[in-house]
Amino acid sequence: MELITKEPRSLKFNGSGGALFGILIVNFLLTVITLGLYYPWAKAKRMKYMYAETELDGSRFTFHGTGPEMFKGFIKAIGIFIIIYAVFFMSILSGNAVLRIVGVLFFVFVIFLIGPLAIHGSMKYRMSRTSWRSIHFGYRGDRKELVIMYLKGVFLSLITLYIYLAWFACDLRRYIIGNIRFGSIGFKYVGKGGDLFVMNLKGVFLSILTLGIYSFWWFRDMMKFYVDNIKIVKNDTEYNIKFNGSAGDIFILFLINYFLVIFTLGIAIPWVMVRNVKFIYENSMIDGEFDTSNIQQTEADYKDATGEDMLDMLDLNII
Amino acid sequence: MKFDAAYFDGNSSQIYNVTAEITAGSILLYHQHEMMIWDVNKIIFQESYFNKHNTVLKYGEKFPYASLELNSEAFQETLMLFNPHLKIKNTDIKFFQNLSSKSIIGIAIGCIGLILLSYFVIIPNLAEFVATKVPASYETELGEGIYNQMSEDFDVDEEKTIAANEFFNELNIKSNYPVQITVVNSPIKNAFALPGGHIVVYDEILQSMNSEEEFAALLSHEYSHIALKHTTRALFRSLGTYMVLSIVLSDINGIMGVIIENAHNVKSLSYTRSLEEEADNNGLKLMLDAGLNPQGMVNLFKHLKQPNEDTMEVPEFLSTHPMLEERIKNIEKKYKNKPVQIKKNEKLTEIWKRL
Repeated sequence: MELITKEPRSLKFNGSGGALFGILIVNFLLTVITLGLYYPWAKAKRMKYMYAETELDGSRFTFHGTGPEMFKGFIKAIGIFIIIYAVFFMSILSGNAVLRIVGVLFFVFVIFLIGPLAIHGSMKYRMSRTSWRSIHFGYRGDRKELVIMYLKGVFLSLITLYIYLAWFACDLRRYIIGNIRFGSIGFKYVGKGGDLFVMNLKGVFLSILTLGIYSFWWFRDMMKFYVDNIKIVKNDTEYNIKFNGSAGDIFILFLINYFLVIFTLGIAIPWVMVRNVKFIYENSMIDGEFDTSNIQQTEADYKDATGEDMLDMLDLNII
Repeated sequence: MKFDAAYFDGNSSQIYNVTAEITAGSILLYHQHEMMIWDVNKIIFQESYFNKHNTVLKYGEKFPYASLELNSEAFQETLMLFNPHLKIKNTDIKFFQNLSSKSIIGIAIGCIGLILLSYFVIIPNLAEFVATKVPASYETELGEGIYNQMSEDFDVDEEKTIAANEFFNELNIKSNYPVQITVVNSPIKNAFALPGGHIVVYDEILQSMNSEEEFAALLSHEYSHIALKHTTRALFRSLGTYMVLSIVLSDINGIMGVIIENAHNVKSLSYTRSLEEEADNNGLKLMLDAGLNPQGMVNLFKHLKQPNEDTMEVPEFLSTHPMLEERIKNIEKKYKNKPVQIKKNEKLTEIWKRL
């Protein structure tokens, strides 16, 4: 029997800046005219486009989320924020010193608490709304576990003057990525906090010493640390993803993006988005031995989009 | 019409290469020697982006769905030809893909124009309109809350506070707001009004005045800020314009940020020039109604122009009230064209001596 070594391959992005510009400009106008209420529909349109233009082994991804689903989540998320701020302001304006302190503590706690709740909700919704060849993604994380891990991470980061942040980041990634399912395929994150800490420390020092020139190497290292530590698990076999981008490529990408945005007063943002996505896809090579032809459907349907919009409101770009 | 397609059964990612044949009411799928029939009415059409050569169809009663992927431009048209009742939602982005760079720039400039128009004209006016509809009682409650918080740092002069309130009552201004004046010991030359009725006067500004007319001018000016809802209007205005910005930058959390920011900064809210002028004009009218010499307002501003001798700093009152010179001219012009009847109010003079 002949042994075939398969070449690694990557995701392919087929979209164009012009098409994305068309979607974003219409989204933008409708969002402004409706005073923001169109936002969930705008987001659904953008996601559908980005997913539909992403191709793996000849098949495209599908985003099944809809405007009405996300609008419900959007309204819920706004309601939650209004309640939090209303309680906060009532306690501040109450004129009672004890109430005021309680109000501030409540506020800080709730803002930290919303982080993991939003990540959990968003992951559950977004993963279940993503499919490839009819096989849906899913997120199996437990809300309570994530909340405890997150609050612990925030607490330890605060008392160690943010030194613990590197370990916290790796814990989060390990938990979130480890709970993503793609039908019968699982994922694993194997990055270690100590390595991330050393890398960032080196990055900060060398960037300062070289007046910022090293920052492109640092960025390359961060991408490698993120991507290379993700493993695809199929039938107990692990497959690697490798980030191949060089610091020089990153420098040129950033430089051109910068000039594109500046000289067009931001009009070129859709083109920049496409350039970035293409860069990341083309430089993340998936192990050639990973076979996508017999993935089984395993995950159930899920429709609550509250977390999705909360994450946007908090402006957390964790995922 | 027959098309090559990839069929997925919804249970596994296994590809079945099939031939799809479109008829009226159904799509027939052939795989080797088997055939499957799809009822067109049960097909779920994913909204797609007018690249007709890539169609993905979902099929089935419930999750998980089977799907069909096609790479043929003619497929959708043929399907519609046989089944004209079907509604396939497509977002036509072909229009944008074929745009020339000139039209892209044109659209972009149009959008920027629209943003500028709503930022500078539509939203501020809308916000002002809403602000004028806010009931007085709500403003009083808000002002009370802010005052209670601020008053902790105040060194209140009780006697002068009583006198100042008597003084204000003597001006006979009819008001919807429960006006409450507080005199505070402080080396800063300042006075400000909170929404809903509180006026805070720093003793230093009081000491720099030479006549009761000047104090009357100050009070009627500050009172005008309250009566004309200036703080509320400024708050709504900045909220409104911030909303536009946050939508533009798609950052909703920012709206919350501005509420906090404003609550903290109500005291130092720098009123716009037009609001100041409005308060001057209204204050002047109130003074004339009370039969006081409007020269008092001019004198007040003249004093404020002189730097604070002790601290050698520009008075705070000045920094938030720009262009005193022009305001003096504005007032002089206003009252010099009017016949002025000045009555001497003995009671005011008497109270003034206590201040």
